[in-house]
Amino acid sequence: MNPALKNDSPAPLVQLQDIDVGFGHIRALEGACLELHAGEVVALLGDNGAGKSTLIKVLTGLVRPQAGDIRVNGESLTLASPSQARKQGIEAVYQDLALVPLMSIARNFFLGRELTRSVGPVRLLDEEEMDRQASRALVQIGIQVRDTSEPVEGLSGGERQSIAIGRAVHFGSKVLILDEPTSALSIGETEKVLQYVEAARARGLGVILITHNLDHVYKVSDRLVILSQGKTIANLPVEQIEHEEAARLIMSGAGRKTPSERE
Amino acid sequence: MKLPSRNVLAPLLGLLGVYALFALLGPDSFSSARNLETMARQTTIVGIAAIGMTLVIISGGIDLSAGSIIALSTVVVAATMNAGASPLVSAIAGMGAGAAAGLLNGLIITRLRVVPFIVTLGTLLIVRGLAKGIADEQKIDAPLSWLIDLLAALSPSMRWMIVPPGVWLLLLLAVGVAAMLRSTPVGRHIVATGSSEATARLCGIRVERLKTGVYVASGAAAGVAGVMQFSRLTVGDPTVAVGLELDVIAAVVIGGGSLSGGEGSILGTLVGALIMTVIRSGCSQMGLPNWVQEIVTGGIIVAAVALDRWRHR
Repeated sequence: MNPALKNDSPAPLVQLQDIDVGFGHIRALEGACLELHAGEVVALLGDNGAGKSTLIKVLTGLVRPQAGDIRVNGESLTLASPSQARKQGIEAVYQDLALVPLMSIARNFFLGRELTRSVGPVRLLDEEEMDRQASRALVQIGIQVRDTSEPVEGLSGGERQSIAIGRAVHFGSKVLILDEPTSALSIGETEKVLQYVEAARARGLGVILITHNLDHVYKVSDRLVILSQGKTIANLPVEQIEHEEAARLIMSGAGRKTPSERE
Repeated sequence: MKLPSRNVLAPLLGLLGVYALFALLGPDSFSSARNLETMARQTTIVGIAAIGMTLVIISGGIDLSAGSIIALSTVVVAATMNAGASPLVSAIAGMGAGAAAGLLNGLIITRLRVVPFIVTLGTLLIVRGLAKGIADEQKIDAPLSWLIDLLAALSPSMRWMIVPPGVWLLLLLAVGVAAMLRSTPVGRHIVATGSSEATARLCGIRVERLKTGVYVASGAAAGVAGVMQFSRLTVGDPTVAVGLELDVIAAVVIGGGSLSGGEGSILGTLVGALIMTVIRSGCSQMGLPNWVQEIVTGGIIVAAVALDRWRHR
């Protein structure tokens, strides 16, 4: 761990330590570690099957680890469901699963957190307020949408990503996890999404970026964490590792000592 | 008031079309007030069950046990009345039996993660068997009560109601559930779950609990439909409503419900149920044999879905 980063904030936003996850007799994670600070973008790298998605599922409450410690703001806790992770300010944006295609932008924006108004004893959806707040929030983050009542179906992949990122930022997430956010996007859209990542970091969020594209990693990340066969084999500030070496590590899976281990 | 969405507009036009067709070609008796009331009564049983089925189908599931639940409910109503329960308590017991069957469906689907089609295919048989077991494989006579008036043709002194109480109950349920679906967070979560279950789960919606609730609602609706069926038969009959779940599902599908989930509406479903009644009534008043009705109804189901696919392209 880079000491400079460590001094910035005494307790990391998120700390996953020695996480073990197995499915039947397959070991998906074996002592995997990950640390994330506020205002930091960490690239989570590794070949297919390295355990990236499983580690993220642990952090979003979709998978319960058999062993290991999860700390949020220095506090050890269990994350039993996505809604619990959400309450801790941890939000994941998945490329295909971020939004419900048949629903409008505003409905998606507030899905699971709908605003309501009381009419007698019942609470009814407050569509107008949701429309208003969704448009305002998206504009604030610099996302242009024509009409928040438009179904998401008609939007491009980049626009969908942007809305999901905007939603996470709006609801005060502290940790934003982006799973392959650029893999199906055009060059222009990719630029935009990376800009939103930087905007989120500027707002003090911690961002975990999962991607196969090292160019994007070097463009926006502060640190990279490489997984191989369920283990964390590297955890370095981007300045300390060359593009080629990172690529070689991802492919070979041969570990390189983290700075703290070297000390 | 917003206009009905395009999804409802097509079935609504379809209903007007078939009605106009039979009004023109059929005998005058078809469009008489008396026949309209009869059609409303005939639609009630399927209509009430279809309200529950609409929720299930929008949530991305299916409930094949609806017909069996209706039979179970008639048996429970008759048996409890014979045991001395008041008509109201018996009606509630019928609905409760339906809700319990729905809970069984919901729990198996969400806990054991078996697909709804298979689970409810199983409970179709289980519930039917249970109904036959309770009734000792025969009809159960029950004492006369006001339950029988729920769906009977109105007597002259009751004319002020326009349609029988059962039809009013159908309308009341329809309005309530439609409002729930359109204007409450639960309604929105049902639609989201049917559109994309994984996304709904990631958005913090408790999908398992929601789906279980939807099957309980569907079971309870089928239970109420069973009370109406009892009203019509005046006995508990464990062999009634065999295959009726297919009419119920057809009503939802003709009304714009998508079997892949996320789409459908209560208004559309009622229109779908009415379309089937109008075809049946029209065909029989024109003296067309039963097999013609079946072919026409089947054709309309396929045409409705094909039209829907074509519109989505």
